[in-house]
Amino acid sequence: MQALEQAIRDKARALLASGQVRLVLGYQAGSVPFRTAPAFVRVPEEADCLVWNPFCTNNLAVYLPSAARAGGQVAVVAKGCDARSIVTLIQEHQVPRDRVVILGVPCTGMADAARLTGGDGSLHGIAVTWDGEGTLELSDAVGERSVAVRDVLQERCRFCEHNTPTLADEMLGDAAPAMPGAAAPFAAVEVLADRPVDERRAYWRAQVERCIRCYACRAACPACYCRTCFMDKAAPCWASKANTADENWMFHAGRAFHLAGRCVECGECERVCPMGIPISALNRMLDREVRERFGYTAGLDPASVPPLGTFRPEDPDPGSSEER
Amino acid sequence: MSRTQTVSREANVRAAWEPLIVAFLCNWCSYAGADLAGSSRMSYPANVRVVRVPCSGRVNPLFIMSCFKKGFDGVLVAGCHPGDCHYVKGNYYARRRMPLAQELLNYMGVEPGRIRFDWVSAAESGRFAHVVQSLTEQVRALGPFSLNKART
Repeated sequence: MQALEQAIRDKARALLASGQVRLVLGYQAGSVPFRTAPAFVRVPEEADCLVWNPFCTNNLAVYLPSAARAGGQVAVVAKGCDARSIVTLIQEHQVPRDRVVILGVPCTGMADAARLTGGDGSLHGIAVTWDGEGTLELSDAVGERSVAVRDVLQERCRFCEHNTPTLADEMLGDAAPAMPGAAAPFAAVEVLADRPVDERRAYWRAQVERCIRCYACRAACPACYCRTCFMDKAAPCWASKANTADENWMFHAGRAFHLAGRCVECGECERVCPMGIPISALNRMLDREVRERFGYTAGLDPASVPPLGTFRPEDPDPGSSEER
Repeated sequence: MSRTQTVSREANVRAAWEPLIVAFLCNWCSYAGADLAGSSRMSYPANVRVVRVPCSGRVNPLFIMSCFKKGFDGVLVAGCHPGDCHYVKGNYYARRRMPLAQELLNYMGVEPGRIRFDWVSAAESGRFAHVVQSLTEQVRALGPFSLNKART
């Protein structure tokens, strides 16, 4: 067993045994080899169910507000993106800092299961083992092969700039090397931004038209903690229940703006989308704007104030340039 | 109906088209500025529909998205000049929010020229007329807005 997994189990067991925390949030093996499931560990004996591998993709910060409200201290296994989400939750007073014990895990990127398929395009019967470093050993009907995790990364991991947690009470393991796309995190955003405005409108209309409004993106998002979402309100009715492109457009535009200056690009919204809508492109584009305009990056400093919750008298004036 | 007829009918519709613009005006400055423009018998395009709001900081970006969803062609948000806000700092928050909303909508295919965020004080009736005039012209040049189809 690899050292990091052992470290997570040991730490979880010690924290529960000493009574310091009442709950440890981590990952356990899923029902298939290329998935993990969130684990809620409450007794020291169960700590051995915890795992660490390139499939620990869920952002566990999403469970923190309710776990913290239930009382006591909660420990959480946090990758770089998860830790940034926790920073956002602390900033926005959803999770008291002294209620959460962040077990920082340096992340070398999560594998995209869709890129592991064999020649027949299926994951059926596949067996996956991880060597604890950078290689996955696969075996399925097609045969055996080994792939580098770096070659099958999820998009959001490729562009991740903070794969080593920026805030942790305890770091398990040494800092991870930078991810391949970290130097140009907005490359994908710029491709669409450079296209004509009519094309962008048509593109997003076609994308949101496919939305089935299952709200999986909202459920998976740690920053979407509103008890009543604007989409669920009857008065004012921002969008009707009708599943049409216009109403869906309203949902995606509204949700993107609500995450402006708050989203840490963990990419969970896009990963869980059953229709494959590139939701996080909107968030990423807003992140780029927020960085340019306000010099602010979400999820780095728990003491800072989110950019839309504050202002500077010297902020630039509207660019209408209409003189009187 | 033949294709030529359809085309000419569309041309007629296009010729008769007038931009429809929603103006969110702050109660303390811009609404009073618009009022003064009226009582001073100034003329400005009748394309704006005014919604009086307590402060430019009251304007939720969802208002703007809603306008475009419902088929309006442009949106004006006007408030007190910086430092003059009746609620001291509402317009400063709006000044961060509005350009960001404009940029998001731009990315999603709403031309930035359809959205105007500006300052109009209670005394600036001429400025109000001018802002409405220039926005109307700008939106007219961009044509009718619809999420549904490429611009005709």
